[in-house]
Amino acid sequence: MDNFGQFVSTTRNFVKRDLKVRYSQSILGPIWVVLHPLLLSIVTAIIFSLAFKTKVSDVPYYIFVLIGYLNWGFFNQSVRESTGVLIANRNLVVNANFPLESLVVSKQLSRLVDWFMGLGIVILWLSLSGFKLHWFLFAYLFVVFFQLLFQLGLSLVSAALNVYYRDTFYAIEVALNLWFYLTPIIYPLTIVPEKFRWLIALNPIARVIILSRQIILEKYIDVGSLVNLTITAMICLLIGIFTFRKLKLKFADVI
Amino acid sequence: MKKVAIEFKKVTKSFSWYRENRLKLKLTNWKTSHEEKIVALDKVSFKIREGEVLGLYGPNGSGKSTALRIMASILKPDSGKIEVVGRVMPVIDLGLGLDPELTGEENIFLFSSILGLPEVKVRDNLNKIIKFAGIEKYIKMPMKKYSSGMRARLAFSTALYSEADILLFDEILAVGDLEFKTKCEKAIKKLKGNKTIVVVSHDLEQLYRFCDRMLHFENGKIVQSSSSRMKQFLYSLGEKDEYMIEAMSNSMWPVIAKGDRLVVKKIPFDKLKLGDIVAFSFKNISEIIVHRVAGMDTKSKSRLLTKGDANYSQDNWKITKENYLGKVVEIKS
Repeated sequence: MDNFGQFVSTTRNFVKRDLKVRYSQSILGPIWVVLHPLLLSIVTAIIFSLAFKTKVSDVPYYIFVLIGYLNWGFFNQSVRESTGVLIANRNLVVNANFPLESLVVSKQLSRLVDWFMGLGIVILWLSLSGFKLHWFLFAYLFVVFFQLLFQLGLSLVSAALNVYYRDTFYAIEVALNLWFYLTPIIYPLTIVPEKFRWLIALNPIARVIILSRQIILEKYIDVGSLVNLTITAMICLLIGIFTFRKLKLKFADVI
Repeated sequence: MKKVAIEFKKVTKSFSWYRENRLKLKLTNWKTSHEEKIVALDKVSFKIREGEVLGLYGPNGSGKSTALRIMASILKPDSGKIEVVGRVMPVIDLGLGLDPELTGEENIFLFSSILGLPEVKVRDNLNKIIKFAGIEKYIKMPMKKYSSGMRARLAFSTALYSEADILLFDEILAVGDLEFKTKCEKAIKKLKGNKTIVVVSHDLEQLYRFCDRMLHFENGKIVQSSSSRMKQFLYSLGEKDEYMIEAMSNSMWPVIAKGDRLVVKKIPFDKLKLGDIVAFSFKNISEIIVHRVAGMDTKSKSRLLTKGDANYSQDNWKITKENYLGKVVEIKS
């Protein structure tokens, strides 16, 4: 088996393992994939719409938040799990010769499966809430594809750095927490003061969420923003691949 | 003469705590007067020919596992050159990547992908793998229900049906029961001549049973290369050397049972005391005998009398410095 063949094979097997192991001892099993973002968005919707009287134009707030959570959950969990994946599989890093990138990629793909199931719930809610489904929804897949490339690049860097410096994991935890509040997930972009909008523009995940809402709720896409996201994702992925390949030569020595 | 499958040319590999923690040391302004460096391999050179079964032997930290990891391209050497001709299959840890939540069958596919075996080949050989491991009844059960021996059997069987040219085994026969170990040894012997096999083990006797040649590592260097008979090799070991043998009889029952692994150390002959368990041999017999020191020969102070715990009524065995092979310092059941 060549190197690419082994990469595909190990990735597929790690994804299968992740999906099976994740919910193996829980009563509800894979239902949590759907239930988790749903409950989070309901709790957030209740708190923000009742306590803070948040209004988001003519879209029900829970739908608005659910879309944000769907993308954020995919990003947050993928990056967090990928950062620690090499340390968690130390035995494999030290004792086996296989494409180590597959450990990081498999974390992204197993969370992508969760995302697809979450998408099913969003579509169901949209239908129940009286939204008409449209073909333009397929554009959403492009946006998520570039989100995947962006977070894969970031995860390759954080996973590799975490082998050398375990501080990376804690730094990522804090950064993701801050990142959540700097991203318009639970609030609309309109409430962000003009002088801070540049922060949102620099944030690829904010771009992903805004584009996703445009596609799903407004049947519209800001092409300029999509191009920006594409370029950012590609650059981030290339940096990730380069960094990982350079640092992996000493993984077995330092882990 | 057969072609060279693996060649090490003056290979050096060191592990430096300082090198891996440079940034941390700079940030904390921690001054170290010396670089803490462990030289795992020091200009090591050797060749392994196609179809040869080579044993790597030595105490912990002697560099044998590092050599194996370099052959498998898991570690990169600091200097020197390595040439490996053929596809390498490192089986350095039995149970590597096996997940307790997955079934035995699912784990075969997971382990195979880590080892680099094509899925099609695994499917073709699935029944043979399961049969060799002897776990047909449990193959659909989660691996958390398996014993460590069952896990090892499954992993070894999977590796055995690979199509690699070079198989690297690190302490793989340290697990599993005597019956399975014998089965593994037979399987390795069958592969002799067709595949190049490198086995790392502490069990010298076991290595001699199926290896064509031995490399004895110490402090990152090869101190002896041997294709000679085992006893000659054991006699030649130094006073600090330790080796492991397996009890093949119950002559020391109940202290030592058949199948127990015994760590033997070359403690000087004149320091032996009454009650010590010692290993020795004679020119006219092939086995190594393990008995307890029962007394001193009245005719010659340089001779000790020994007896087996289980056959204490039998005559003494007399041993001297010449046929003494070491004192048993640990018994692993």
